[in-house]
Amino acid sequence: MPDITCIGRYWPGDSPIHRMDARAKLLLSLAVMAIAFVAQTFCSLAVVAVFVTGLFVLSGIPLGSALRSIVPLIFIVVITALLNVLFVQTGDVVAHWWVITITTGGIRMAFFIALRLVILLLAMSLLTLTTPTLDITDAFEYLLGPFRRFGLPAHELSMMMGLALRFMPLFVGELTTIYRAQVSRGAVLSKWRVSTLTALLVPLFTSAFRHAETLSAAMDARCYHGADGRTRLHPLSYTSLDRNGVIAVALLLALTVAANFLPL
Amino acid sequence: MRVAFEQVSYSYRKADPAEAKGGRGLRRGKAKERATASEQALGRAEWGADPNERWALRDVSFVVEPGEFLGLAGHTGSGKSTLIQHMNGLLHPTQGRVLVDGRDLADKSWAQQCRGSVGLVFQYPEHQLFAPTVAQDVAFGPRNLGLSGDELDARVRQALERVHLDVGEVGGRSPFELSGGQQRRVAFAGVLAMDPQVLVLDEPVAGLDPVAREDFLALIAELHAGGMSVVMASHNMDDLARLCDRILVLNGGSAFALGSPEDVFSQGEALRSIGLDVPPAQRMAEQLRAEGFALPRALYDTESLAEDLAPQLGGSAAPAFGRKEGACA
Amino acid sequence: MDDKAVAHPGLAGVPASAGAPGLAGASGELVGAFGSVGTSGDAGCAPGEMPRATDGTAVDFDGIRFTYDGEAFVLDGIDLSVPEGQFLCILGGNGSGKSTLARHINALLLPDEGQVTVLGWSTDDPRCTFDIRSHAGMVFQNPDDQLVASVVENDVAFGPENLGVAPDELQRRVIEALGNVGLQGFDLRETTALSGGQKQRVAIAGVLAMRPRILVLDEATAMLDPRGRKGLMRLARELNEQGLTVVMITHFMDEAAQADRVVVLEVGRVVADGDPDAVLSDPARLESMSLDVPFVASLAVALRKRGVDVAVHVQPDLLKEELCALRSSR
Repeated sequence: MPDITCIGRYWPGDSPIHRMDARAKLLLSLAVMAIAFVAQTFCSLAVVAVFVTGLFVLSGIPLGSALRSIVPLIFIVVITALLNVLFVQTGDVVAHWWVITITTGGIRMAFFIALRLVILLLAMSLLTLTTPTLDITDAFEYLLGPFRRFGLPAHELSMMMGLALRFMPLFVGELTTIYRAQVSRGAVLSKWRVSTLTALLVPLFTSAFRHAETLSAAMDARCYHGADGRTRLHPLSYTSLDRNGVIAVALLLALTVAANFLPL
Repeated sequence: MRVAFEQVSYSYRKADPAEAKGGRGLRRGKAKERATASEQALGRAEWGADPNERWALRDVSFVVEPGEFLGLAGHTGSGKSTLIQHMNGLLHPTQGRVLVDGRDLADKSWAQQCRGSVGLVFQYPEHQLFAPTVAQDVAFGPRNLGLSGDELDARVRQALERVHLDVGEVGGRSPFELSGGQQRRVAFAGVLAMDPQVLVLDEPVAGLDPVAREDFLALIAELHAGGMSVVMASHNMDDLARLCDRILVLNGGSAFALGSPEDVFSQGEALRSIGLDVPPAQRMAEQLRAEGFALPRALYDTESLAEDLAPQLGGSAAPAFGRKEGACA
Repeated sequence: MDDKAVAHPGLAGVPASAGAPGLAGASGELVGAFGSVGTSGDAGCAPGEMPRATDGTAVDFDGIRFTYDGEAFVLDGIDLSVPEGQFLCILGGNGSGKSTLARHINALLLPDEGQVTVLGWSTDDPRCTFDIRSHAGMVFQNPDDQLVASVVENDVAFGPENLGVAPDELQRRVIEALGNVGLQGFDLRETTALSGGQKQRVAIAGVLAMRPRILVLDEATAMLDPRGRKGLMRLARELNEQGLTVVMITHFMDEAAQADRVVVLEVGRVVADGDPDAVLSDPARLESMSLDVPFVASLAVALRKRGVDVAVHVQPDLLKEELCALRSSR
């Protein structure tokens, strides 16, 4: 199974989620993320959580692996939770040191926001896990298509995004090697020095330029010339799966709003 | 400086349990414990106990004696790079230990001290150049060791001299202006400037054209002749046969063979069974021996092969004096 | 870029007909035949037209001179003609101009003097660029620098997608190309998870999917381990046997020894041109051209120095045979 702790990785499969149209998945993912914000109570948030879990089950991706895939971003959750604990002052005081007051309301809010963040990250992760990056960028291109008349280079942007996602794992690997090489020369990251940072970043940039030079020649050699006349191996097409997806998300919205009124 | 690997195993998945917990203090404590423990405390796991673990190295033990030239052979994925990164403490074994001069590298302070003495050169080292000038890039290493001023300048100059570059000529130039071969030399100098006693090289001549290759290998041989221990990973069996005192062959993370070039390369069939081969001259010798030629030596190179073959074909063992060197037939 | 697109209204949606000359279908026989070409008019090339050369020349370099910076000529008078179906190896040391020459084949670079003609099309004519590039595919040195997609099948389809090939035909070509490079079943694999050798095969598949007649390998094995190199060489030979013209840029002797013809470049000029045995058997000369000497040639020379009258071969098996024959004749 692929090493999942990296954005841009794809988990091959043939589930209904995998087979959905990328544009639908993109829009519906955004919708689910928005609905996570519509949820105001633990109960309604739980509804969304259950929905997202259900999606993972449907996709055939183990939830454990899914959670591991968002580990690199866990710091966002931790920081946000911490901020809430420290600065939300409602309910009973639980602890008090110096200027820091921790309240039950703070803790409650922290959990809530953390849970919501995890749901958001999982929804985003599901999109990239079940959709080849080329399809995601194709989806962007289609959806941004109407804006071309306003001068937005939709195709070029989506090409850039696709390439960036494809090269990200490579750069992570190269950065690791660069880091190890500089550490082998005695660099210590904990001792903050400008030279240490340049020792890491400059090689990364030169590597990027090196790749870019050959890559553009390779793309030219394969007759790349922009969007005109370009066909696609898997043209995006809506199917009943997508209609079902829309219905499912609509139901989710309804349930979530309803659950908001439950006293929990 | 003596580097010893004792039953070293390394797995990608699970990092050293001692490191996962707590901070520095705990780590140092554990390391000291291990450093004084005897073999039984190392606790060998049953292989296959956890099918999810991916063992990059399994139970590898060997020693690099001071002044030795040790070759490291093995196809991609055999664990060469992982092993190399254990030598200066970049990676720590999941089991077993790596000792430098008797002290365990798991002890972070010792590993930091050894950074300068065990110099590690990665593949395509010129990709790590970053400073505005060659001199500054080469100075990075020694500066991290705490040197400055005249001493630093002297180190930089000496290091560049050792790779046959002139500090006056290239010192002030940007490393990116230089040719590929020169850039690699600068990267080498950057490691040499730390005055290592052990030089560890991961495929040092990868991607070089024939002339640059030979120059580099000659440079490495020169450094070794000056007393440095060298560990060199390579795909080229011929290079290993020529330069190394001993060769360690890895296969699937385990030590497959360890011995002199004669010992290792007389096992042609075994090496081929794991996807490697012997130097071309040795291969030819094997094939000719099978055809009935008398070739008694354990390891052959071009000259020795010609020497032993010629008498059996109507020639003489020694090159005839004054004979014209071979032109087109 | 946009001009080119407009000038090729016919390209978009041009179906890859069965008549397109190029690589084999799964059965191994050539789909289409050499010689099914359009009329050779002098009006420059029309979009979508079949290659014009009927004389069987794949690439023709005529008096090529080229400089990057306007001062030093990296290519200094190259006259070379490559017949179709040949396995040509271009050897040269650092700075010999070999990679620069390779990039003239698919019009990535244009000569400052002289003319390059590929399958009858001139690289000078911008209207022919697409045709040239789709018929003369190139694989580069660094496997990672050629893969544009995260999934294998998408990467292989990239070339024909750019040519406007229809989706179901695209699917067919991807499967066929992956089969031709020995990567059947790899279509849904992640490109980042492949080995160097496998990545290069995917790159070759991506080129084959455009149904080329020429394959240019620009030091394509330089970054591979010995296993990867051997595999790629075997593949190149197989493709050549099926009719593909292969131009291989390298500095590895054992690879050059397997070619039909070896051309040695030095400082931008051709200094040797012939079959491998002839070109690679003079070690002194090779060394003077900053090249490696093949082991077999060194051995033969060492034996000759010791009074053994043996021909200088570049193929190990031939030398072995001759040695055995020599011994039994004594």
